[in-house]
This record gives sequence, structure tokens and C-alpha cells, in this order.
Amino acid sequence: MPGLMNLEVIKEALAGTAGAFRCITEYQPAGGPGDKVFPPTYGEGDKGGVYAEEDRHVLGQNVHCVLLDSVQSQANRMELALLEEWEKHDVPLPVVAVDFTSYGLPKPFRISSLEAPHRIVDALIRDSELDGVPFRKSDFGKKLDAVDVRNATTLFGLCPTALVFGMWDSTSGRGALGARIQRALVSEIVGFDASAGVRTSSRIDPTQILLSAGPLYQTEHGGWTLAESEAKRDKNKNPVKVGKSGKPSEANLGNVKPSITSGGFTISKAVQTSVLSLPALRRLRFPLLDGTARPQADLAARTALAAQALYAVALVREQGADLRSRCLLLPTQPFAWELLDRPGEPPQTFDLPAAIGRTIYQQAVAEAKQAGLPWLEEAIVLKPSANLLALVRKSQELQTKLPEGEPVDA
Amino acid sequence: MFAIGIRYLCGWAMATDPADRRRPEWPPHPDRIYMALAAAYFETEGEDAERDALDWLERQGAPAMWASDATERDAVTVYVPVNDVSLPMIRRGSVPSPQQVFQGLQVLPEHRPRQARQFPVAVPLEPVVFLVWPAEPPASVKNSLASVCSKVVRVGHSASLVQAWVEENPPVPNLVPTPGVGRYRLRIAGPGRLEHLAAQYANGFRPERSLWRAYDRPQPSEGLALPGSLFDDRLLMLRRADGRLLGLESTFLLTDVLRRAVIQQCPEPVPEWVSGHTPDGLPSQRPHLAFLPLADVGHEHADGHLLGVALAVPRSVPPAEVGRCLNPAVGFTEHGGPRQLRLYAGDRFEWTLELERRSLPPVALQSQTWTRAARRWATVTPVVLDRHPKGNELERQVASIVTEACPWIGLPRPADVLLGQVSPYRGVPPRREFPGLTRKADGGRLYQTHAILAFAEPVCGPVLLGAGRYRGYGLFRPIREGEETEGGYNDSRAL
Repeated sequence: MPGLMNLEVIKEALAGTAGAFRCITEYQPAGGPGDKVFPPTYGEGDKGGVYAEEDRHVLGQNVHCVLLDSVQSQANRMELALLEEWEKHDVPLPVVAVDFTSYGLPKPFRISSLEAPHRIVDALIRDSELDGVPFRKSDFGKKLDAVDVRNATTLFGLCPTALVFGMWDSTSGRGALGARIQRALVSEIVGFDASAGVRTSSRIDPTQILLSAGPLYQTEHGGWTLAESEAKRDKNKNPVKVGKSGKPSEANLGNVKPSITSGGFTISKAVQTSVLSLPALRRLRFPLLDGTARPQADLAARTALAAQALYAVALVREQGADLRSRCLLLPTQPFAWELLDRPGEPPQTFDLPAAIGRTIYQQAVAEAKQAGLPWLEEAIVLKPSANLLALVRKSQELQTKLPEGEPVDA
Repeated sequence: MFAIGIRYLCGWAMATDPADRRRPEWPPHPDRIYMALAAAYFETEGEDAERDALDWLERQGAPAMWASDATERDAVTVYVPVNDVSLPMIRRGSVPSPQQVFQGLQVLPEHRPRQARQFPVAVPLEPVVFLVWPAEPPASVKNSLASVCSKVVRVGHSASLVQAWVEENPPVPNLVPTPGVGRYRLRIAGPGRLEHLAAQYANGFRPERSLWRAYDRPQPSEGLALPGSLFDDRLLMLRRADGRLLGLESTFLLTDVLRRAVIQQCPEPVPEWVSGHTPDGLPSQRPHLAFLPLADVGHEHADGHLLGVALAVPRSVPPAEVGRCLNPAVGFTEHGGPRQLRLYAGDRFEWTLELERRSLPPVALQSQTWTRAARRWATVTPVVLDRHPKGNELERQVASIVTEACPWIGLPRPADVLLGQVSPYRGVPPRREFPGLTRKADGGRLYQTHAILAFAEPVCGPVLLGAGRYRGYGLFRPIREGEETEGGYNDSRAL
């Protein structure tokens, strides 16, 4: 019977020699066993639409499998889950965000250090402003320049997810030798007994508009008209058609002939494997500003990072895996973690529902702060640079003026 | 004895094959594992004792290994967002052009440009690997190596998480360094490796100058349990990498050109076992290198086309000698990829052969397809008789000649021999469609026939009989019990 995970288990694991925490969970499609799922596709152009398939060996049999969610994609989901919990339940989380909501844009938005592709060292955050200065040149941002595996104190307080999911500060002054933090958490979802299916596409237009009913012309106001006299004119005074040739389908009208292409798989089950490497966390050191080593603080910080990682994994498991259109998976097992220590010995197992994960995480962060580690309590909100704001404004204005589906002329 | 175990925690290994960047590396090369240990030492500012332990390890030479086979995940192209984007300069007060809008928006995550990357992944049948060295380390070295192992995070890409430890009871290795031609070519760490890694890192360079060693399955320690021929049953399988399809009828054409290419690449003076000739230029009486056409036969859609050629080496040749003579032709280049052996026959054909390295190649390219123990064997190329049968009872005489040919290659005499125009294997042409051998003396054609042999006890291959056996004729394939055979033979005969 697995016990419940608690803070002591994590602390002892980090203080000892254990290799990893690992959680393997089975899922079924939301539509029930045997329902079709759509994995991610890779590649571009002619070579696009390719699934990542592989063969595995299970109990002496060959099993065909397909990747349903990659390591990078799972990491993104876990960061988003943490961000959402922070917004809803006030879970402790340092957040640095670039705010596009206060400038009267048609579509306001905000991008945080948990959403930017390169986390806190992303170009967007680098060039946005704190108190009138680009972030990396501000007091907070400058501290990031000295970040290293052996000097992770600042990063712990500003962006702990960078220590869990990895970071490479490739565009700081040091270029390719910029700070590199190895990821500690790896997670992936694979579908088993994958059998390829087909996908149909078609559309029946209730108004039964025929091709010969066109051509359609663009109007000045962004709509369309059948009357050539009312059409927008180009620089040669010719009427401008909708799309390339004014076909009704360019305005989303009319039937689409049914077609069948290959698509999707049926699977017997999906398996999500998440591994938290303890040696990766043990490498991190959290000295004082003057370089003094602090073993107590080291353990407290690593414990908090491990707790954050385990909590993030529990969160995405509890949400179910809504991976993409027509790929919703629901877990069919409790989330049991193995603590992998001496090889050959059976591992200890622990259950960790998300609610317990939250409590442990909050406790661990409190203890880390008590041990003297920094922790950003209030989100740092950055102002986008004036140039970027102008460009975003211009782009959004262009988009609202054009007929639907027209690409921005670049 | 000292052993290190590596467990891939996610069940797969993400590391790029240095010879082909689109493929994963499997099994992990000992040098890669050594570099992971070195990284664990450097990145944790390890103690001097750990450095001494790594120095000891790099002097132990190439380890034996235990690793299962692996399959590969489809190599897909992933697009990873870049970070080296910046905003365009816009003059104050001026309206940004569409180009500037496009460039500027690239800073936003949804418009960020992406770089194509590949992350090759190998999925091993067993996600554990062992490295075994014969030497026994001093206690302090062993403890320090255990400590370094416990700090290893990954072998390969950063997502390729592992657990490493010192193993007291490793399994018997299934991959060992060989002085001969090995199916695998792995990088190993040698003396001075740690220093080189430190120096390269300090100067901002990648590691270089790996040492390469050939590896292969170990030879069974006891002698063969079953009788076999005087050829080593571990054939060197060369697969057709390029060139048009050829059928079994082209056997002589192919093997002659290949033999000349192998001789040409062999270091001088070319020994008798490679050339098949004595120093005086006379045909050798001793067993020498044989070439076997590897044809697609025996299944429902078989058409007898050639997938490659195998080299059968006499058992009596020591592995180091095999390596010395054959590596230049069919071994590995200095970058770790297999050599491409190009064969030309005027404008009749142009082929490229390379060592077959896949762990699960097509049936015809698996050594054991031609060598596994069996009681019954059937021809894929006809047996050529070195003397012409005369007079009455032709069939009995031919059978007798074939029977007596077996001891010539070290096999017992078969209990029964069946002859025929065709082979029981689907896809094999009838005997008349094979170009014949002519006698040097008077130019007369030698008699050739298909045959089935039935031995009293199972024997191991390769089974090559008759004149022309070194050039690919007289090649037999073992009949698996219960295997489908067709045409020409009455299976109710007691065989």
C-alpha cells in the first residue's frame, strides 16, 4: 500500500542517494477505450503531417506506439498549470510578466516568465522595461548575469521553474557560454498499440451556394458584395475580388467536397511517464551574495524545487490531458510515485493528489524563505518597449480591418 | 572485475549517432558514458579522489558491455523557438512598415521564428546498459567512482535522464571489443581523456579525438556444441546500400567483382586466405575467404533478388588477422560510419556495399538465416560438381559426389541427398538459369544441380559445397522444421 507523499520524504530523498522520483500513469481517451486520438504532427510542407511513431517491446511482444505529447510540450503545460493555480488560488510563485493590457490595445494580453519560450531569459522579457530601463539592465535583471549552477540563489527567487525545466541564457553577453541549467523534470505521453486511422473532411452548406453564384468582390468596409459597382478599387481602378478569384469558398460559403486523408490513431492506452532527477537538483547551490556556502539553504531550496515539480506533475494529471483537438485523455489510475534508490531493490511508492501537492509545496517554500532564500512575493510587471507596443498596436489594427482569414501582408 | 550500470529512467535514450546525425546512438558508446561521468565530476566540483578515480578508469581500456537491442523512434523534425530576436529600429513618429511589423512581432511567442531540430531517440528492449572491465580497482577508487556515478544526471541530450551506479553482479557481456571486423564501432575513452575534456571546455571547444574500437557479439567460450563447417558461423554481412536490383543469376558477376575489390583494399602482401591463391599464383588448396549471395527467397513474394553479400571466413584465421585484412575494405571510417565499398563492372552494374549494422535487418541479411543449426539444408545456388558423372545411374553418382563434398568443408556426410532441377525455396531460379562454370582444361561446362541434404543430426552453417563454393555457388540454406517448401520434391520421402 503506497503511503502519502509528504515533505519529509522529499527532504530525505534529496539528502540521501536516491536517483529519481518517477510517476507512470495510464490514460484512456475521454470517449472511452478504442476511441480515436490525434497525436501531434511534425515537419513542414511536403514532409509535414508526420507522426512520431516507434516500436516498443512489452512482455516479449512488439507493440507499435505513437508520441502523444512531447517532453517540451509537457513542460509548457506544467508551467501553465502552475501559473493558473497562482492566479486562482494564490499559490506562491515568482512571476515576471510583460503587460500589454494597459495600453488600449484592441486585444490586450500579458506574457509571463512561465509562458515565454525561454523563460526568464527570453528575448521578450530581456527587452521589456522595468522603471524605464530594459529588464536585463535593471537591478533585478542584472543579478541574472551571474547565475550559474553553483550560484542559483537569484534564479530561485525570480524564476524557480527555470531550475526545474531548464534554461539557457544564450543571448546574454556570454553568448554560447551563457548560463545553462539542466532540466530536472522530464515528462512524456505515449500511446500504445497505435493503429492508424483515417480522417474525413467535408462541409455541407445549408444555403447551398454554388460556385457560379460568384464572383465576390471586396468592399471598402471589409465585407463582400456581388455588385461590381460597389467593389473596392485597386490602384489601377480594377475591382478587387475576395481572395484570389472571388470564389464563394474564399468567403467560407458553399460546399466542400468530402475527402479522406489518413489521420489519428486508435490506442489501447496512453502512458504518461514523468521523472524528476534528484542528482540534477543536488547539483544546484544557493550561496549568499558574497559566495558563502549554506548547506541548510541548499537542501531547503532543492526541496522547494522538488515540491514544485511534483505539484506541477500532479496538477497536469488531475486536469486530464486535453492535449489538442480530438485528443482528450483521462487518467485511469491514481498518481503513484516511485522513489528509485538502490537498483535491484523494490522502490518505495507514494500517492500524491494535487491538493496534497499544493500543501507540501506551500510548506516547502515557507521553509526555504525561513532558511534565507529570496522569493518574489509580488509579480514584477514589465512595460513593453515603445517600439514593440507600436508594432503590436499596428498589427492588431491591421487585423481588425481585413476580411476574415486574410493574412497580414508581410 | 569492475562494472557500471546505467538505467534510462524514461525508458529511452536520446543521443545522436556521431556518424549520422539523424539517427540515435545505440548502444551508448563507452566514451559518451565516460563524458557523463566527467561532467558529473566537473559540474559538482568533485574531490581530488574522484579525479584520481576517473584517471584510473580511462586507463582500463575498452570495456565489455551488456546492452539489449533497440528500436528507433521516427526521426521527425521539431521546430524549436529561437531566442536571438530583436526589435527593428523605428524612427520616432514614423509609422512602422509592414516589414517592421512582421519583424517586431517575432518577439511575441506566437510569432517567434523556429529552428528545425531533430531529437533522435532509441527505445531499447531493456532500458539498462552495463559496462564491465576486467581489472579490480583499489577500494578508494571504487568508492569515488560510486560517488561520481550517483551524481550523473543524463547520458546524451538533457532529457535523457539516467541513474548510474557501480554494479557488483553484472550480466555476462553480449558485446565485446574485438580485434577482428566488428559489426559495431564504438568510441572509448583512453589515457588522457579527462585532461582533454577539461582543456577543450576551458577553451570553449567541443570534445574531439575519440578512440574507436570494433565491437561484436562474443564468441561462445566452449567450442560449438553441434558440428559445423570449417567457416566461422559469424558471417560478415554486407548490405546493398546502392545500385540496381540483381538476381541470383548474377552471383558470379557480383562475387568476382567483390573479391577483386576486397583484395585491392587488403594491405600487401595479400595473404592466401584472402586471395585464394598461393604465392606462386596457383589456386589455394587451403580454405579461404568465401562470398555468399544473400537472396530474398523462401516466402510468398520472394523473387530471388540480392540484398547483399556475406563474407565467410575460415575458422582457422585469427580475428586480429581478419580485422587487419578486411577492415580497409568493409570496416569503419575514422568518423565511425561504415565504409562504403563501391563495385563497378563496366556499365553492367554499379553497386555500393556496406556492413549491415541494423539490429533487426531483413531475414536474408541476418547471419543466422544461413548458419543456424538444422538437419535439412537446401540450395539457393546450384552445387557444381568438380568432376563429371559418367555412365549409368547418373543420379546416384551425382548424389555420391555431393555427399563426399561435405567432409571437404568439415561437415559429416548427410544421410540422404535429393537432387533436382529446382530448389524448394521460392524465388530461386532453376539450375539451368544459372551461368555455368567451365573447366579450365577443356572449356567444358561443369555439371550443376539443386539439392536437398538431410543430416542424421543438426549441423551449423554456413554450408558451401562443390566447385565454385568460394564464389557463391553451392550455397545451402537451413530448412526450419515446419517451414514451407514447394514444388519438385515429395515431402513424404523419409528425410
